[in-house]
Amino acid sequence: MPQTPSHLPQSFRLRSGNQMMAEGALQAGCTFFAGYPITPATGIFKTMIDLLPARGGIALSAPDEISAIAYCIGASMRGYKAMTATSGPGWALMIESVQYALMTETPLVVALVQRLGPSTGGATQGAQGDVLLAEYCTSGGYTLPVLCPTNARECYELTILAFTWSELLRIPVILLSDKETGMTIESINDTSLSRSTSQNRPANFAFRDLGSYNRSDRRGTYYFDVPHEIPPFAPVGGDRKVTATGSAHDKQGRLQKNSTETLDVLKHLEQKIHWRLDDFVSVVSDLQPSATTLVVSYGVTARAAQSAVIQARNTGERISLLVIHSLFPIPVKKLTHALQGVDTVLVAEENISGLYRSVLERYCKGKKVRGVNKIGSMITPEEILVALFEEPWQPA
Amino acid sequence: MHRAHEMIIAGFGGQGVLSMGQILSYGAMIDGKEVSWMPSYGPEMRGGTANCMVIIAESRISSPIVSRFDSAVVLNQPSLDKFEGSIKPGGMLFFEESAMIRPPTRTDIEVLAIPAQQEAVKLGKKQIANMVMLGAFLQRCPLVKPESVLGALNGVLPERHHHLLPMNKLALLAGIEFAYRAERSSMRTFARPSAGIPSERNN
Repeated sequence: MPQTPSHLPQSFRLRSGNQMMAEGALQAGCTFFAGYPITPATGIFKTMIDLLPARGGIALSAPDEISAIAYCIGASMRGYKAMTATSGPGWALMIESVQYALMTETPLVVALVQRLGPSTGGATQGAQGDVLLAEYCTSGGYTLPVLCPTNARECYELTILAFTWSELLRIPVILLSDKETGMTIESINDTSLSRSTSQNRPANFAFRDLGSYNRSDRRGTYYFDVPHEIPPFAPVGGDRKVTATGSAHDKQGRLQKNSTETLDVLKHLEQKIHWRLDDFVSVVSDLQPSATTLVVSYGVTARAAQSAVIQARNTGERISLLVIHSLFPIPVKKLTHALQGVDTVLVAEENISGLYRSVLERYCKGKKVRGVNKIGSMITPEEILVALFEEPWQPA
Repeated sequence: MHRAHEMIIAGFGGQGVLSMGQILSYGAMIDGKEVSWMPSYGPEMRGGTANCMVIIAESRISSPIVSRFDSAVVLNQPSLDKFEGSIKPGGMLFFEESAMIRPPTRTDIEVLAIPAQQEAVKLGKKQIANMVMLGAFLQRCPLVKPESVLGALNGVLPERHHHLLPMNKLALLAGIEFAYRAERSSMRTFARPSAGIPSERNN
């Protein structure tokens, strides 16, 4: 891929969203990557294979997606910051193991670069059809954080954020990209990129360094006092016995049916996220006072929405725009704020049935909620304008 | 007021459509512009249709997809058929002269037939027709400095192909020269859509 020529200021480079996602992972301190190539996520795989070993990390080409994610979970249990990348068909194979990571409170970042589905669908065709498949992939309906970048720069920044959440909360986090975001190449000004790294998981020092925790303590590796507390992490193969089972378990990881403690652990898996709902929020609110229409979008479609809103405002229309990065947990407060005074909500997304719209509708009581939906090619700014005014759009 | 040039480059896979766009984008970046390069292609390695939308702008680009173009570079008939109607009035259409059976018909745009394939064969390698086309494009539509494009070639071309750099430069210059000569001499006639194609082609 393009290298910066020597006569250029080093700060500008051409980078795809996929490359920036890989670079974001490196910046976040990712030390382990395993993947199986799949269009349109291969750019992440290739960049990680190219760059990670040179930085002292491990990058593996797995024989399939199930192995790829299993390698990552194993590495994460040992203390590595792990990531994998795939697209819809690979995600279908990974869902079982993502649930295992959730159940065993194993930090993990999965980049899901969407392509046209269902099944193997259209390999080189973009889509935003995996939104609910990503979020609702667990038995039991647990909340998984889903972060959705709209451009190459955000691919970098949200990847760092994904690692932070994944580590701090000991949960799998999904980076929901799409073919156009992942493969579009853009100019990136390096000096404007965040240099912060991701946070680290709460370590297992508590077991040894605090007086009240000693090895004979019966509190286990999944121990918490209050439900939203994150249990200190103890690596597999460390000086403490770690049991990691996908079955319902108590705070020591022992398989149990439905004791009170086991049910507490299951509730804790949701409560630890629920308690931090406001912390997860990442949105771009571009609100106009007295606007009666709010356009909501995410991913690459948000860029068309932004362009449409700018064009409409140039003709004197008052329209608000809400671009959502943290699709899940749903940024309810930001959404409610954006909805004030609005009577129409337009949700633009590249899928047939309006997946995210169906989730947002329950927060938009009393408002007219409409969708701009399409598959097969990207939604254009003009199509959003047509939907906004419900008539053919004439540029000013 | 921000100014952006929105264009599409389209053809068959293997014609260098995507790399032409990348080189152009890279060159524009060297010139300090904001750029966006969005590829679209089929699952085949070769032979399918491919295109890329390139946006070169003075300020940040919102949507990488546009439905109407300031210019279009088309290297095959299906792309011409598909995108001719999407060029803004007053825009420009560059097409590979040897690839068209049905020439473009619009009269409200500037139409330029470029014998890129033929020029490339003259240089000894038909794979560099895309660079000829790029040269001709840049001569008529100077979005990016040619020296920046040459710098971009260095960056975009994989190392294993760096021995081809001189030939690519020749191709770029051949394109520039072709368009320059055409401008100087009978370019106006040449640029008229009706006169762009020898009449026997229409038979």
